[in-house]
Amino acid sequence: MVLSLAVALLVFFGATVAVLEWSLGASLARARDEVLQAQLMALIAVAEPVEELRSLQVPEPPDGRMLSPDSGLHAEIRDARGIAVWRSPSALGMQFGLPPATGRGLYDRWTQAEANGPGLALSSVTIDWEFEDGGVEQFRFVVAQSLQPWHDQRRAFRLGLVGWFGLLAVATLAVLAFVLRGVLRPLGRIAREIREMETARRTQLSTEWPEELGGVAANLNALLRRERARQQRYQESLANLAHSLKTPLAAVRTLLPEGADGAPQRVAMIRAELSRMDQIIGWQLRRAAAGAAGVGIVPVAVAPVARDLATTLDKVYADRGVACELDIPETLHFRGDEGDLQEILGNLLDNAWKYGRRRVRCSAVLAAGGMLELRVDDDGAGLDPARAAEALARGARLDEKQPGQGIGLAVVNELVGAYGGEIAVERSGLGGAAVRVTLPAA
Amino acid sequence: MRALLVEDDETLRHGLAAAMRAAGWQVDEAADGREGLYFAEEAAPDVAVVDLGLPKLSGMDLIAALRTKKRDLPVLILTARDRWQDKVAGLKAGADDYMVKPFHTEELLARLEALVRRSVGWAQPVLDFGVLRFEPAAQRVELRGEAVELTSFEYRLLEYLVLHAGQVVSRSELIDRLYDQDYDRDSNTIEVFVGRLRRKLDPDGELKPIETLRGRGYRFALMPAGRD
Repeated sequence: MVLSLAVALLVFFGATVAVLEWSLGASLARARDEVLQAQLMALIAVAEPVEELRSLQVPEPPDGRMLSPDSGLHAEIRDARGIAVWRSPSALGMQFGLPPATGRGLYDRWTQAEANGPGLALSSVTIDWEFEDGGVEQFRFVVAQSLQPWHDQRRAFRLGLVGWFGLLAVATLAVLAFVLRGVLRPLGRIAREIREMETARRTQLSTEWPEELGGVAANLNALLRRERARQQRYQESLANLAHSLKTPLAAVRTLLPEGADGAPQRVAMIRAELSRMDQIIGWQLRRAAAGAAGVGIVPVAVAPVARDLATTLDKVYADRGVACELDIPETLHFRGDEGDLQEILGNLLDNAWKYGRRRVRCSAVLAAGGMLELRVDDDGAGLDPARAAEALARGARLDEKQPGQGIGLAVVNELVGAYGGEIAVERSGLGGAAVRVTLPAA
Repeated sequence: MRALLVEDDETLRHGLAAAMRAAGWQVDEAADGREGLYFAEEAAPDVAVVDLGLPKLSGMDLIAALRTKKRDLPVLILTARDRWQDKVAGLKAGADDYMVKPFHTEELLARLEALVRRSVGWAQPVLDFGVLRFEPAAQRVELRGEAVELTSFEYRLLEYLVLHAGQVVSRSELIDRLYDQDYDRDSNTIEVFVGRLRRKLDPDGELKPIETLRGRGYRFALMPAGRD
């Protein structure tokens, strides 16, 4: 940004300098010609006729410089044949190359190179001189001036111009850079804060902004608040929907006669249909609730979530007497929705408690590529690869599943996939199954 | 055993209460959280089944209120959402177990038995007194390896005494736990059933599992195996 401005500024200043330089050169040339013209008129004024020779003489040149050889001002008078009738003492040994005169009474202007010098600017005028006897002779008056002073002037002017403009350009750039930095710094900060929100280190933009950005930041924050409120309403609606769908299901089930044996076939069928309805509702609601966090999420510490779940499962499976080891660094954070992490870990740990015998281990480490790796081990019978693939089958149609088969692993698979992670079922060192999932770390 | 059932859906509440009564529970039914809190304080239930989505006072608030008042009866929550977030929140609030709707009634009953057993200090599902063994989940009693045939009421009476083994259980406490509220408290049915239990468990009069403490109540006197 600053660089492109500097380039634009340099181009602009360069063009200005060139135009000024050119127009000054032109006006200096005009001034020089006027000076030459004045010299010519003065020369004509002091020229005196030599009647007997029908010639002209200049006993006293109009400008003292015409007397000394190195003064740079020279003059000459030529007759109609082009022969010099008078030359100023300063013009001794000089040769003027004269273009044909354009006409009587008209001034000609040209320049001429010099062997060892900056060159000459010349001007001439041809006039008719009437002698006392009434005879008329044509004379061409020539004045030449060295281009040196003119070159000097131009150089001095050019130096001044470039110097001052350069200084001005540097000063302007400095001021611009200063102002731009002031303008751009808040923009950089807003970009950084948005990045922080994306990586879950911040929930909304800070409030101290320059006037121009205050509105934008406030609008963004309002948008985030609205979005979060909308998500919360959505989650509440899902909870209400679950409640109002599942309570009647539970009611119907309690009304059916208990006990598998002895119950009429029809009751068993109704019960199977109820289970299916329940699973479909559960599956769809879970999917709808998953990953609803979006913007403005905060990093979720993994260890406390695992601890809470372990405490919960310890209570629920109190009779199982399962010993759970947790090996999760306190600094490890998950980038996503806390509910989703609870769902993933909850299902994995629940399976471990259910299928394990006495030991469950839950560990997590920071893995490559900004991911974290969660691992849940148990000492149960293990899960063979064919069964594991079946249990993981994402989006498997529930009515194809056998009744009583859990959907825990499929839910985990779905969630992990939504976060761009991976899941693998392995043989555990404890003797049972080990499920390994990767999730984005914060 | 006395259970409190707090559920606002009338069909579910009635159906569940009927199933619990059939399994030998005394059930207080409450249709909202406030009523539930009232029964929890007045009726001193052994266990509570609480729906989370309740009118007036939510299930979570009801549990929190109970725990603040130092009522440590076990609580099982019924929840419609099977997100772990809700389960963890419920158990953190003080519940001891959860079931997701719709549930199997048999499983709920088994969980309630286990909750009560654990709440009185029995960690194991089998209560072993050497010659006598109890399996509350299966409502099974064995004497020297042989199953003892008991009526539903006999079993409930014995279970209550066994769960509170070593403690004196008053006659009125037993009546509260085993009969409906309109039971005639002056009848001598409890004595009749205790007599029957003694004959079934101790036909030779050597074991003396149930002591009578005159004017105070009864005590299950056997010591658990493995305890001194």
